[in-house]
Amino acid sequence: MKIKIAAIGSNLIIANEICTVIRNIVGDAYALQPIIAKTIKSSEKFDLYVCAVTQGEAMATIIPNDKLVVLDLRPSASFFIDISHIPAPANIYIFNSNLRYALLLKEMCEKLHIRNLNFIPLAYEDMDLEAVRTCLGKAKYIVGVADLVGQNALLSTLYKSYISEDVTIIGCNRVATIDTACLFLNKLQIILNLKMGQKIAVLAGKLQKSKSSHKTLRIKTMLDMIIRRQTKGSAMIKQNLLKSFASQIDNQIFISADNSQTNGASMEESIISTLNTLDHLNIAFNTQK
Amino acid sequence: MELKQLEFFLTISHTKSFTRAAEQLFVSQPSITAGIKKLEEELGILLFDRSKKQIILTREGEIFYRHIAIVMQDIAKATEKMAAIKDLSEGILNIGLSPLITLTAVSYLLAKFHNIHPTLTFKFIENSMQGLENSLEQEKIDMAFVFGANMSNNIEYAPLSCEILSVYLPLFHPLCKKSSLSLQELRNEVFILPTYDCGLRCLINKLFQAMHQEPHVSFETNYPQLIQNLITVGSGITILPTGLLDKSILKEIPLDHTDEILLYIAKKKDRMLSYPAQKLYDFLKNSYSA
Repeated sequence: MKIKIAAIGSNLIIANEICTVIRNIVGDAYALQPIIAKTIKSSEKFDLYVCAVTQGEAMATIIPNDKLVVLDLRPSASFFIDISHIPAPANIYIFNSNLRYALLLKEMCEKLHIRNLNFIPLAYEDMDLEAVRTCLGKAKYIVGVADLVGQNALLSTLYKSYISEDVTIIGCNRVATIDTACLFLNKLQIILNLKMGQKIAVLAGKLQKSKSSHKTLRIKTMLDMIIRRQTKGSAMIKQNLLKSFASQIDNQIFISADNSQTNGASMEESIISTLNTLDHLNIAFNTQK
Repeated sequence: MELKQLEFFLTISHTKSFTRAAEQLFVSQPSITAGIKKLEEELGILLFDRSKKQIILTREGEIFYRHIAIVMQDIAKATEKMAAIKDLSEGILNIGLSPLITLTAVSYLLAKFHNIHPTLTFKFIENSMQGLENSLEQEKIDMAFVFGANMSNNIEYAPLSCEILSVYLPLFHPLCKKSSLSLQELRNEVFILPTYDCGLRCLINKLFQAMHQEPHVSFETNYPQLIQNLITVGSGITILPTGLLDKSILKEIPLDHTDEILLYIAKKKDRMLSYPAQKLYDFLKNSYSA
């Protein structure tokens, strides 16, 4: 009954990054597979399809809404703080596979009032190779998603030799916003319920036909086991949601969850209880303004 | 990191003073100072410039503050979206039942749904077929479990499970030794059957009509306990869904050559059900569509 989740990216690097993001939210309990967006033609193979905002529109034309989760991926605070340390004025190249996310990163920096820096998007999949290499040769500062400004893309043989020696590279590990992480958990819960319901229906059918009391007891035990298995994950969900929240602040920090209220709670109850905890902070934030 | 450290950070940012933040949060100033120091160590940055009389955010502190503000907006958005789910934590589901329904399989699904949403209350209302349809149309009940679809234009029916019919006899009945029984073999028997307004009676009557027979009915009732007692004392036999009556005091023998009867879940067409009711309806429907 393992739920199959497709982690979609414009390329394999991003698809793998989405896998990591999902693992950060739910752990290793699900069968995850990285998939390149343009290879997806139908929605039958997986129970749930997860992609980033940049692929959301295209995927919505293929995948039905109940099977699609669009994650809003954002860098943690430390990435922006590192950028703010760059002495102004300076040209900062945002190295990314597509232009859309490069522009989003630029917008996020501006929202945080990181000023007097000139952000130049460098969407390497949308540009001519020579043009990318020329820009890289001029760049003193290159920023972007950690996996893309690392060995997999920027530091690969394709570009590495074209980068100037005194370049500063700042990479970010992206995490899902708590809003989209909750949406993901909610859709996952619906699929879990559906799958479990189907399994229970089969067992209940057997139970109805069973004439031997020994067999009946065995089926009843199996039913109990299924129900217990579902509620077991709630403490983990609470922990991971708080982790998701903390990761948006800094990848290295972790908020410890109080699990006293989560015993026996469903995933939905766990999400709501975590949000209530965080909302307490939100109320404090808003009333003090 | 603890959430209270973030609260300390936000409060100091607003009050521009460790002392005032401590007063506002009802904690000691050393706790606030220690909390912020720990946060700064974890983040690896200095959040506040303490060199001036009034505490101000450093450049990194300002970026951190704005970042937190975005994250907080995000939490507010998530809380709003999850409010719909909160509706599942309370409420009463009114469910109609056709008389003499066993619901063996369905009861496990209902138990499962209740296990996920333990604070929901399920209220079962038994009624005749017509009564249930009226209650659905008047929105007095959310959904109903019925035998056979009446094909009313205003009601939507989804098949759930199949029920098998059995003949129930007193333990001393001469037919008790048979492993199965046909309607033909029952032609001289006296029957205790459900009333005409019960969906099940219509289905039983159709079976007899197909065999060009008319059942000889001595009692009509929808109370299983009464049917059971009447059979035990030899007042007749009955045909009902398998598993409905107590096998330890009656003989249950499968009825031959009859189609399985379908159990349906019914709801008013195009009615916008409450969030928990819709979830239960989808849960039951989807569980059986597999």
